[in-house]
Amino acid sequence: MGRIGAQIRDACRGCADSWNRFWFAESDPTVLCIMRILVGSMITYTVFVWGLKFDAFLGDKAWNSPALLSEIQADGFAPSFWWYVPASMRWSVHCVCLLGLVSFTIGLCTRVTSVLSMAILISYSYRAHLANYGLDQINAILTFYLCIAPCGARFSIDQLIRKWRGKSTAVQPSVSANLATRLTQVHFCVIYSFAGLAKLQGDGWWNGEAIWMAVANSEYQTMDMTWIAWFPWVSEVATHITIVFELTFWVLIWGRFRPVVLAVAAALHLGIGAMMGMWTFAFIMIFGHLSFYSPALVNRFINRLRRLEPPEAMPDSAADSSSRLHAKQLDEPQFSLPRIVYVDSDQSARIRCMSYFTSRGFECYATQHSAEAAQLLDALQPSAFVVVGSNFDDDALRKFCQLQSLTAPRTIAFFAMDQGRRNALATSLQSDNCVLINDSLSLGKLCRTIEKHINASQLATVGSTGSQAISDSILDDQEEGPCDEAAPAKPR
Amino acid sequence: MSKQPHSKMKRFGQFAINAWIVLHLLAIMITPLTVGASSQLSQRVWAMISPYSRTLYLAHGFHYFAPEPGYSTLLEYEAVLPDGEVVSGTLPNRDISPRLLYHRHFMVTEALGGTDPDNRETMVRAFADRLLDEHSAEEVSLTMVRHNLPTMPRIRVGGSLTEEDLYDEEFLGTFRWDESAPR
Repeated sequence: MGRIGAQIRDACRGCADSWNRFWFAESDPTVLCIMRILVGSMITYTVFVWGLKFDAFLGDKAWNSPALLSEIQADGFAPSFWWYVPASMRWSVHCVCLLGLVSFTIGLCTRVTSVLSMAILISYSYRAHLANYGLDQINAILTFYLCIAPCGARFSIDQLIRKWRGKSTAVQPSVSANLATRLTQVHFCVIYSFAGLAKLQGDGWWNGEAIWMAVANSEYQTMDMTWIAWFPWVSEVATHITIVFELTFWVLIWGRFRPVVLAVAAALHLGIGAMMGMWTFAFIMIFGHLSFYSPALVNRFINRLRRLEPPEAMPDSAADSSSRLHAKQLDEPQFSLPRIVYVDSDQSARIRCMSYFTSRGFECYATQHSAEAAQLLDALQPSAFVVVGSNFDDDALRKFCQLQSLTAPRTIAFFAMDQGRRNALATSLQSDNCVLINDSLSLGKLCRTIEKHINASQLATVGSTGSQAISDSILDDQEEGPCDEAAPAKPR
Repeated sequence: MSKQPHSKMKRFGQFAINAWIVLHLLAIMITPLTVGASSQLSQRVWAMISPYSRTLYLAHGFHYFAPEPGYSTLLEYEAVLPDGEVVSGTLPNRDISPRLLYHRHFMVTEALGGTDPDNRETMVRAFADRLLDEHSAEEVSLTMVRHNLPTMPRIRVGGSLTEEDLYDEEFLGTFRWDESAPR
């Protein structure tokens, strides 16, 4: 009985750990910031279009007149500020709403305008109840989750204001970003699952005619699809794919099939947009799918756009040419991102570290060669941090230490090395030029430690003389597990 | 010792967030479960939790094109203006632009097709008032049109999507400003 009890306790603890990792890991808000711009643009357009026929949908003699809505919504529950706006003020209020939505889109006072946008959406949706459809539902869902997230952290006026005030604009990973991302992901799983289950009640979704029925509806149709009548198998295949996709989305989206699932989802919605003219609904669904994109991937894409593609994207065979690429990049105008040189012989560790720091706004370089590391450090003077990984062998480590004949002060962190090797390296690095972060750190702690060190350096320029061990006292953040386990679980 | 109150607050905060996540997940999952045939249990849970999800406009069934795509409902009207001119039209019509506005009108007429018989009279009256207001008309006649879907064999033998016999019409009445019921 005791053993069974222990097993149950272990299982419960495992579940609790998984739950906490899923919801409360820290994650990069970059994707949510992009979603803010896209979703904000969509809701602004949605509300703008209401304005084109304002009286028809929100006036006293609208299609959905107050008398009709009070009858349809039997309990009278329809929270909307439009019930309290006098007729003479309606256009002014509509314009103010548009201003609020534009502010949210461009990231001005994002915390306030996100909540305001949600209130605006809810009010329009309940007031124009009869004219709503899926677009309004997804608009509200995505805006609600963006209210939770720090979606004004990047690509926003808020960020520019922070920069103008001299405050740090580095992107901080946060629990709220992860929570918003996870809620969006789970909500999309619920949407597709119930859409699929509900379809199972219709014969058309079983006999393969449902897609024909959709494209043969001339009120929806935007292109002539009647040719399908001569090729019924097209309708059957598309119908079966739709059902399988919707019913399996919630399982397959979490695994290795995610890219395929997202590609099918995009194709499905773009098809709906092209054939049925529901472009707004198609796009808002695709915007929601962005929550399934890894922030690291998106950051790599952004960096590529900025011609800052990190060299780690290259295979090891290209290592020789990587230093040339570094040199070329470093000849280009310098950027104000904090820099990290990560030295490790293990490729997967380098990729993981690169992804992590790049996604958090660092300019990160990784190499396995000590000579190349020295070359990089020379080029990156004076402010790069050096992170030494756990897979650097002793000989290479010694060579690396000998190469530390650098004139500028350096901050060196040992990433997940055992105590003995850390101490040995710390001893051999005793020089006037090094500031040591002598601890075994998880990626999350390492990131925060470096950020704190940067902030401290900004207050008092680092003119450290003599080796200085930054004590554990600055690592007073929340406890994290061992390095490999504690690598933040990014939204998949 | 001094950290205890802070720790208690933190634990309470963690508990509150976890409880909210569970409540929220329940709210978004229970709504689709209560669309159509549903158990008393799910209806009771929905009754308890719906104020939360409805306030945030998160109470949706997600039954898109379910149980299967079907016929469309259109609204035909004839409005008589004060000078005797007759203006007629159909909603939705392809002249409505942008496409989102077209869909808004389409959803309105679809609501008419799927409305509860108890509410239909009020809805028709609201639509009539809307058209009277829009055209500054003295009276308007409304007809609900059901556009049925053609089958594939019908198209293969030369049919089209808009053949006359695919439309079923139902006259809803003629309405004037000063009347509260169809005559």
